[in-house]
Parts: sequence; structure tokens; C-alpha cells
Amino acid sequence: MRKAEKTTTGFRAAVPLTVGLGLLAASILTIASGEDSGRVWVFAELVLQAVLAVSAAVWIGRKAKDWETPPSVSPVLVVLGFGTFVCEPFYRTFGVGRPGEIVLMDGLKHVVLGLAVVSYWRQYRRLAVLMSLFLMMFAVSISTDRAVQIAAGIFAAVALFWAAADYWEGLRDSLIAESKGGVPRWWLAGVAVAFVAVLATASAGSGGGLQNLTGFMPSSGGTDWYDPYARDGVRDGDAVVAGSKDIRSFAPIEDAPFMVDDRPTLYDVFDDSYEEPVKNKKYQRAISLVQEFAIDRCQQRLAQLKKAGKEFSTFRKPKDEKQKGRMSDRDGGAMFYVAGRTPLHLRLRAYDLFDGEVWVEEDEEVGVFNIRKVDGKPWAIPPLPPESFAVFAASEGHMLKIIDLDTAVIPAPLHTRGVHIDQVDRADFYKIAYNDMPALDRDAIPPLTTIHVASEVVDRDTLQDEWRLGSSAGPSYSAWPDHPDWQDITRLADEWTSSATSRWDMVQAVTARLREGYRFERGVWTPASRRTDGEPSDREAATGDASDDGQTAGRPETDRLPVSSFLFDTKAGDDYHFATAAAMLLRAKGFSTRLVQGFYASPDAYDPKAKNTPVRAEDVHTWCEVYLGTRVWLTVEATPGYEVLGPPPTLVEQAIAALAAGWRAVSDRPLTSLAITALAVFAWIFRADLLDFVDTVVWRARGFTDERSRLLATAGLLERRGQRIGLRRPAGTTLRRWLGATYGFTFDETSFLRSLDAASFAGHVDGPPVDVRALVARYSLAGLRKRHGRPRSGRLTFLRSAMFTRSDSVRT
Amino acid sequence: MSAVVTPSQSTDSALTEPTLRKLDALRDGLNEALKGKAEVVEHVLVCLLSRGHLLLEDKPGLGKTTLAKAVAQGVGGRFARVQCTPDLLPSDVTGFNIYNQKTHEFEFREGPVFADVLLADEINRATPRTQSALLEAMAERQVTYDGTRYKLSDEFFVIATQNPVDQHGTYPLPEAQLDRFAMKLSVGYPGREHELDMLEAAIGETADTPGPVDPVFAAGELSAVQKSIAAIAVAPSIRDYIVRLGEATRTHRLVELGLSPRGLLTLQRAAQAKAALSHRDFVTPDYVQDVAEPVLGVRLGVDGDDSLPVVREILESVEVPTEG
Repeated sequence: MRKAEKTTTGFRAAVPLTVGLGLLAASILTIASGEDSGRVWVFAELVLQAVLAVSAAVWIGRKAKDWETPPSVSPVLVVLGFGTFVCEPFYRTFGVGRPGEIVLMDGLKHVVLGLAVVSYWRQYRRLAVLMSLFLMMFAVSISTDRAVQIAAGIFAAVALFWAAADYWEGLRDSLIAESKGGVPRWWLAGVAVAFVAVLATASAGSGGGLQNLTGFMPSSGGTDWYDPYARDGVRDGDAVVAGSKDIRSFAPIEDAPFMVDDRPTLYDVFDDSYEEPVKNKKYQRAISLVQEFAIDRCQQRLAQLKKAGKEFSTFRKPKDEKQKGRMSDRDGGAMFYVAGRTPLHLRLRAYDLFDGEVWVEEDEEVGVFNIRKVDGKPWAIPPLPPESFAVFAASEGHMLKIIDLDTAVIPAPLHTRGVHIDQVDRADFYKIAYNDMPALDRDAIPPLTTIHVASEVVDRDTLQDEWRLGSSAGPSYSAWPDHPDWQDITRLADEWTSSATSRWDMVQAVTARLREGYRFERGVWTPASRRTDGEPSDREAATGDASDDGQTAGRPETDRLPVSSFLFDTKAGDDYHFATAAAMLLRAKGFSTRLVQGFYASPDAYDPKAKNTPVRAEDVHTWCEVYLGTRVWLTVEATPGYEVLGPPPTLVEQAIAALAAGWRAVSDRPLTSLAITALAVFAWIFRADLLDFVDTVVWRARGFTDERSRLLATAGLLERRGQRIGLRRPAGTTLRRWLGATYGFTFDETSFLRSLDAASFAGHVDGPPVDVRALVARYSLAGLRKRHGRPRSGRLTFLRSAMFTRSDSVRT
Repeated sequence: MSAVVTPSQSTDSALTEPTLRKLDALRDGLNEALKGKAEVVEHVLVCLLSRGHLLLEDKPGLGKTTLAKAVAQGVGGRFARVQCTPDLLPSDVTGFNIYNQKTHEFEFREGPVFADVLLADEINRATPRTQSALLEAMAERQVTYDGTRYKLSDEFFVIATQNPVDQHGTYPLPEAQLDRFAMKLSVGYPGREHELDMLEAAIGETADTPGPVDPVFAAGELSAVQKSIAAIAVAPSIRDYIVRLGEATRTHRLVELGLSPRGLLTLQRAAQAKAALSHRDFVTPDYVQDVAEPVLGVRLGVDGDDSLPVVREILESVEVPTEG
């Protein structure tokens, strides 16, 4: 054993560490890939592979001294690796097949374990660890199981130790002379702990820093693949569309039987979220237009659409306390699910004309879809705008699973460039709703339909250069209400955009002002409306908005527009107030704008386990869009707390996001974090004392049967005590010499050293018995520190000396 | 690692208390003869007790001869001296046949090698032929002349001296022959204090050399002591340590010729002798390290002149066992 250890193993813990690393990686993969099978099976597999690997390693370890190299490693590894592939068809005949990449990784796992077992030989050891690292990374990327994340953290720490020890060993081999000190284990431990801490906070935080890793590892569920056992992958091809085998494939099928009943219409959804509109009987509003010739047509349409109910009033009842309670009861059921990058604005309705109180819906555009086969799948392509702007960053793919949405309009993002529903290959199934929204030519989208949407994302960084000329989308998009408040709004718009030099600057200035200076609140009351309707006045008293009461009472014009009331008085409103305000302010600066309603898929709602974002009724959202020209619109998000999807983040941005998530996890619990940090700092500073205390207590508690083991244990204790303050015994220095020199033993203690020599190398003890307890007490850690001039922590001394030198210089 | 080491045979062949006292007396005598060189004396004793031969490499006049004479007197044996020159013939060392006029027969006239302690002064001035004749006698403790084999003394101990090798008119000893020596030592200048003492003691004396050392051992007693020293216990981990030291010399980047198996045996024997001199009946790593420098120094083919830094480096790098 000795000899084998010398020629092959190198540092002492190499084999256990390597086997441990291999087993950890194997366990992570087993847990991650075993989510489908039962817990019992996973546990059984874990135990089996651990027992087999450890017993094989022990057996090989016994044999290792006889073998120069282990016999027939490669054939055994080949059998281990390919055995999985050979067995897979048999599994599949019994219906328990696994995805291709899991089978591949399972083979790799067996090879890793095989290599770890023969890690007595260095060439296998390094390969084993390298491969187990890959195994671990793969497994972590396919699972969000907490156990996997914890195991990965432990793996990282152990691997760090392993790598450092291996590196130092390599150094020692090549440069014997230079490596006088040992491995600086304390530093390693500190770094490892910090690393694990960052990893743990990043993965435990609500942001889910680890989620940023998904998509980096390949999976079998791609677009070009067909495999009945495929996991859901990046593009989640076939397994998702079928949606029948695995509940995780996309949607909660459990509530399918209950879905047919009581399905709320889309109008219900919007009205539930935004409260009922209040009828304004006193005043007939009108709109004002630049181009006078169009005014009649617009007025006509306004009246017509309002009559048909195709309107959205910005003048709404406040939410009362009872309703608030009811709202919170109702959440839970998702209306549909989105897979793909969020935040996402999913559009359902668009409004162009606004009379100061009521928005009316946009005209329907006539357009035809074309069916084009992409990778054998039918995609419906809407009419594409001419390519005149280089503002698009990249195309995005999203997938929607409709559960319960009573509308024919497909909730698609802006600039939809293609829609795909499996096996729907006829263009007349689709139509265009409003100006540019894809819709199905029927009453509603059937429940459980899976829709793929391809769209383009505007890169906002390009707008400054690309968006120079103003252009109009039509008179209805730039009309303003014929109302005295319009002057105020125009003045405000001028004031806010006074320092803006470009059109994009103006949009940004307006958005920033709204986002910073105004408060977003669902169902908030716009107080000016109180005068127009007797009924809400007692409700106004309930909200207790007395200051506004006085202010508006003094004004002669009692019919302030809800939007100007929001802008100038309350400075708090619902998202439609923000959107209307943004639209009006921008119209005042000559932009063409429209109001869009739909859903906001929030990144906060992302479900990392299902890898999608559920969209619920309360995700209803209203925002504003501004016209860039040539049928390109830009989402303007004036409501605080809502973001617009940008181009895909780069790796650096993802890393920053992960760090930010870690920081948030820490800063969310400042007291706990502070306490843990303080405790850690304390433990770090007093680490030597704490360890020495524990060590001494254990040493005292041990019952020694004979003098020899007592002497050896004492020597070990004294040696560790020296190590704790950095007095490491050089490899080539004998224990006797080192102890004598380090502790400065007096004559009495040399009898201890003589006895120790006999105990160590003669197997018997000669000379009088030594009082080791008194010895250990006399040569304490503190005494050793004093003797060698080693204070508790180098850094603290540095601080202290810096302070002293300063005070000294002051004195002199 | 392994179970308790039983002190093998050390009980029956252990060095008795009187023997140990005799060793101390020999040490004192040698220290008296060569003042201020306790370390050198210790190594000389180790070399003597481990039945090895000693190579002293130093400048003239530093007391090499004095030391050799004192050793001879101390162990109670005959002393002989050969001054090596280029014209020294092998028979001048080993002895030769001479025709006896009375008996009409050739009879063997013994050379200086038949002494108990032989001082071969300036051995690197002798021709390789003469060197090898002497070295055969050292290794085999016998002399073959004219087909007849003559046995040498059981306690035969050679102290060879050589001037630093880069001088003119020298035949450096090849590595194979250096391996026959157990140790290489250099005496070095005594300290100022000891030089003053020496001068003071010389006042009134006609001879420059100090008085004779009292013989410590009776005839044949030394070889018995050597036998019992060879039986001193060496724990498995110590043996492993010695082997690892040997491996380290063979893989070191500056060493061209590593430690031979004979060298390993010499190292173990020397460590045993050192243990005996320290009144212990077992070897510890300290004793191995104590004797490693002179033992390894003579037999490592080091790229460059000085092997001592290399030996120290190897001692520092090879891990020392801490228990049996």
C-alpha cells in the first residue's frame, strides 16, 4: 500500500475525493434524470451505484500495490459506457425508455464511476474528475430540483479542493526545491465556502440566477427531432404539441374538465380588472384633427363604434374594498401559458380614436395570410411591412398554450411575423384583427390549442440613429380631444420634452417622467368624475381624498378629463391612465399613437419547473404604442413596474443578472445576512482557536488504552496546533525535531520526545511516563502564538500597525 | 498503518550498558585527539561501527592523519599508512611474494592493507590500477596475490584522504569506486577557540600530535559490537523512508547517478550505528537524516561539484514518517 501510494496516488485524500466527486456527479444526474420515475427507484439507484463504486474502489485499493497499472481498464470502461446503449432497446420494449441525451449521459456516468474506481493511478484520476464536472454541469442544466442544486454546490467545493491539491502536487513534483510549504488549505476553504454561498444565494433567490444557465445544454426536444421519449427542450417541439403524455409538457390538464363551464369572456376579464365604466350623460365630447377633411369620417366612426360598444372608457368606477377581496380569491387559473422570453406584451385589442374619455377600437385592416412550410410545418405569414428600418434586433420564438381565452385574436407580441398551429395549413383559418393582429377566423381559439408565434424585437439602441423622420399612421392616430384640458396637456408635453433633441429622446423623456413622477395603482379613482355623476360621491368620501376635493371645487370648469386629472391632480392611476397620458402627450408632440390592451407576461411569474409563464386574468394590461413609420410600431411602456422585451441578453448580461439575483437574495434579508456575515467573520478570525478548542476537547475525551497511542495522539495534537497558526512541519523535517524547535521544549519535554520516538518507531515505550495533559496545557495555542510572534490574523495586525504608526507619527 | 513494531532481536543482541559506555569513551578519546570536530568524530564512529570505509576530502594539515591514528589506537588495532603517489604499485599496498633464501620458497610479505586501520593518504594521486587493488581489499576484505587468497582483518577500516579533485596530477575516483566508501567527510578548519587551545597545549611539547588515545576495545571486540549494531530494529516505515530517499535521488533533475541498492544498505547500516551511538535500540528518521548527508554525498553523481545542496534538497522534499 505504501509503495503504491507513493508512486500513484500522491496526496492522501486523492482517491476518496475522486470517488466522492464521481459519485456526486452521478447522483446529481440520477436525481435530475429520475424526475419521471418514482422516488423509490431514484433512491435505489443512488444507493446501488454508491455501494458498487465504493466497494470496487476499496477492492482496487487493496490490489493497487501489486499492480503497476490496473489490467484491462479500457475494455471495462467501454463495456460500462456502451452497456447503457445496449440496454436501452430492452427498456423501451417495456415502455420505460429514456431520452437520447439521458442515455448518453448515463453511459458517461458509468464511465466516470469506472474511472473514479481506478483513480489510484493519476492518469485516470484527472480524466474522472474532468468528466464528472461535465456530467454535473449537464445534470444541473436539466433540473431545478433543490437537491440537485445543493449537491452541485457541494460538488463545486469538493472539486475546488481537488483541483488545488492536484495542482500543488504537480508543482511539488516538478519543483521540489520551491515547494517548502504545504497546501494553503485555509484559503481554499474560504474561497470554496464563498463560492458555495454565492451559488446557493443565486439559486435560492427569487430571481433564480441558475435559470440563466438553461438553454446552454443541448436537449432532445428540438424542432428537427422526433423521439417519443424526448424531454421538453429549448424549442420544445414534439413533446409539447402532443401534450398528452407528460403533464409537464406544457399545460395543467387537470382543470380541463372544468373549463367549459363559466368561461369568462374577454370583456368580463377587462371589466373585472378595470372596473365598470361610468356613463357620462352631461357632455358630448368631440375630437379635433389637424386635417380638417378627415374630421367628419372620424366623428362618424366615433359615434358608430361607441354605439356598438367597441370602446374603452378611461372613466371608471374605483375598486371598493369588497371587490379587492374578491379579486384576490380569484387568481390561480391561468388563461394561457407563454414559453419563451419575457417580459412580453401580448396584444389583443387596439384603439385609435380618443374623445377625452373613451377610446374606440381601431379599424380592421384587410389582409391575407400566406401559408409557408418551414421544416415541414405550416406557418401562417401575415403581410410583411416593407424593409425600411434597421431597428429589429432578432427574431423571437414564443409558444402559447391557450387554456381559457374567449377571443379569436391570438395574444401575440408586436411585429408578429408568423403563426403556426400544428396541422392548420390553410390560410383562410386566419384573419387579421384590428390593424395588424393575427386572429383565427372563428368565435374563439379552441382551448388547449398550442400556438407558435414568431416575431421581431425592436432594438431600442438603434432608434436614436434610425428614427429620424416623423410619419403619420393616419388622422385617427393623431387626433386629440376637443377640450380645454388639451392646452394643459400640450404645455406639459412641451415642458417635459424641452431638452429632447430627437424623436426617440422625446419618447424617452415622456416615458421617464411618467414612470418616475406617478404612482401606479389598480382601480384607483379619478376624482374629477365625481361631479358628473351623483352616485360616486359617497364613494369619494370613502376614499377620503379631501385635498383634491378642495382643489377641484374651486375651479369653474367642472368636467376635467380623467387623463388630465391623472396628470395634474392625483398623479396616481391605473395602467390605462398611464397609457392614455403617454399617448396624449406624444400626440401633442406630433406622434401617431394608439392604445393597446392585452396581457403582460411578467418575468416574475415565470415557473422555472414548467419552463413557462402562466398568464392570468390579473395580468391584463394597457399600454401605448407609437408609430415609427412603414407599419412599424414601438411599444411605449409608461407604467412603472412594467418592462419591454429587449434583444436577447448576451452572456455578460446574463452573468450580471445572476449576480444581481444573488445580491437581491442577500439584500432582501439584511439582518439575517448581516448576522451570518458577522458570525462568519468571527468564526474566521477565531478559526484557529475554535478548532484547537474542539480538537483539545476531543483529545481529552478520548480514552487511551495504552501509553503508546496516548503519546502519538498528543504529538498529533501538538502538530495540528502549530499548523493552525501557520507553522507547518515541512515534509522533510522529523516530528521530533519540529516539535522541539517549534515549542522550544525544555529538558523535561525532551523525555517526552524520547518516549515519542520509541512509541513511534519501536512500538514500545521506554522511560518514565509523561504527563501529557500538563504538557498540552503548558504549550497552549496562545503561548505558541506569542513565542512565534504570530497574532490571530495577519490582516488585523496590519490594521493595528497602520493605526499605531499613524498615532506615532502624530505624537512625533 | 501497521501494527505495533516488535523490537526484533534487539533484546538478545542488544548493546549492553558496558558496550555503550565503551562507545562513549571512544568518542571522548577521538574528540580529545581532534578538538572541536564533534560532528566529524560522530560520523567517523558511525562509519566505523557500520563496517564502512571513510573518504576524507580536505586540504592538507587539517588533522586527517591524526584522526586516523586516533581511531586505530582507540579500537586497539594495528595502524598502517600508505602515501599514495603515481608510482605506487598495487603490490606496495597489498603485499608481495619474496623468495626466501633459506627455505627456497616464496613467502608472502603482507602489505599495509593487513592492518586494522589503514590510512590511504591522497588516494587520488595513485594510479587507477593501484586504486582498484585497494578498493578490492576494501570491498572483499581480502587480497588475492599470485592465486592465493589472503584474508584481511575482520575490523579492517580504511580512511582514505584525497585532495580536492580539480588539482593537477590526480586520478579522480570513478563513481563505481566511490560507492565502496560508506561516507565522505571533510574535516574543515577548527574554530578559533580550538586553535588557541591547540597552540597552548603544544607549548612544551616536542611532537605536534597529541598524546595517544587509550584503546577502548579488546581485540575482536569491535566486530562483535558491529554485529549487534546490525541487529538494531528498523521499523517498516523507516525502511520505506530510506527507499523513498533512494527513489528521490534517482529522479532528481540534477542527479546523474542515483543511490544504488548497496547505497541503501549502507544508509540503513549507518542509521543503525547512529542509533547505537545515541543509546537507542531502534532507528528513527532523525538518525537516517543525520547520516544521510555524508552517506549520500559520496555516491551521488551530481551535475556540478557539490552534492550537499542536492542532498539537503532531497531530505527536505521527501516526506518523513511520523510513526512505525
